[in-house]
Amino acid sequence: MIRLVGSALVVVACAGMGFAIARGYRERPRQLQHLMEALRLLKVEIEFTATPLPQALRRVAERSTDPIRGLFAATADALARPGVTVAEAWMAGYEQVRRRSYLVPADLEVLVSFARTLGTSDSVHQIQHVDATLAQLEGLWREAAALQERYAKLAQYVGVLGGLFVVILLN
Amino acid sequence: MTPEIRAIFQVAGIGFLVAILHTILKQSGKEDFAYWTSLIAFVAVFVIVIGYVDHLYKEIERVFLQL
Repeated sequence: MIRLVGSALVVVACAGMGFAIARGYRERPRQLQHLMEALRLLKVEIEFTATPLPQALRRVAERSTDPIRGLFAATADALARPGVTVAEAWMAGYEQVRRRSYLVPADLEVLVSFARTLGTSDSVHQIQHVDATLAQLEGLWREAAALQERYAKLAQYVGVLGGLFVVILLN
Repeated sequence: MTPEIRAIFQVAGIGFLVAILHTILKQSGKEDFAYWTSLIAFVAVFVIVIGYVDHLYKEIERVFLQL
């Protein structure tokens, strides 16, 4: 009886590990897409309505979903304090998203380089910077989607089968 | 279930699982991992079988050589 329970626990643990890895592969392209959507919204705010940056960030935060909303909300909050530059505020938001999202260092690097350009020039150049960032993210998204297609299912199968393998070996 | 029958099922199960794993890994382009899993499974089965072969030789020695 106790043997059966232990075997079940081993299988569940290994399968859980596989599913967690697969979740990482699935979430990354989704979050990159949300990030691109949010940046497009920011671009629209800058381009057509010329909203001041704190308000624009706040509006983008309202319209996006969780890990990405954290980025924009924390940036807007940090920007509300006096004597904070936009780059510093963006880095505060970046710290939020770095800990809570499935984005990899290559994606985060794009966000850091975006921080250096945000709020340093007029709206025309801002839009160009946003476009450049969007193009970079698009490339990363393609890569992430290809990885997902290849490895998300694989991680699940290997997790479950590896668990069964260990159970058979131990019995 | 006697221990011998259990060992046969164990080896068969390992063979079955590793066949599936090998196919899946190879299909998704991880051929080096596929060969590693096969090798690890081979070693695991070898360790199991060596125990029984050892037992068999001891038994032959005991029966025929009267040591």
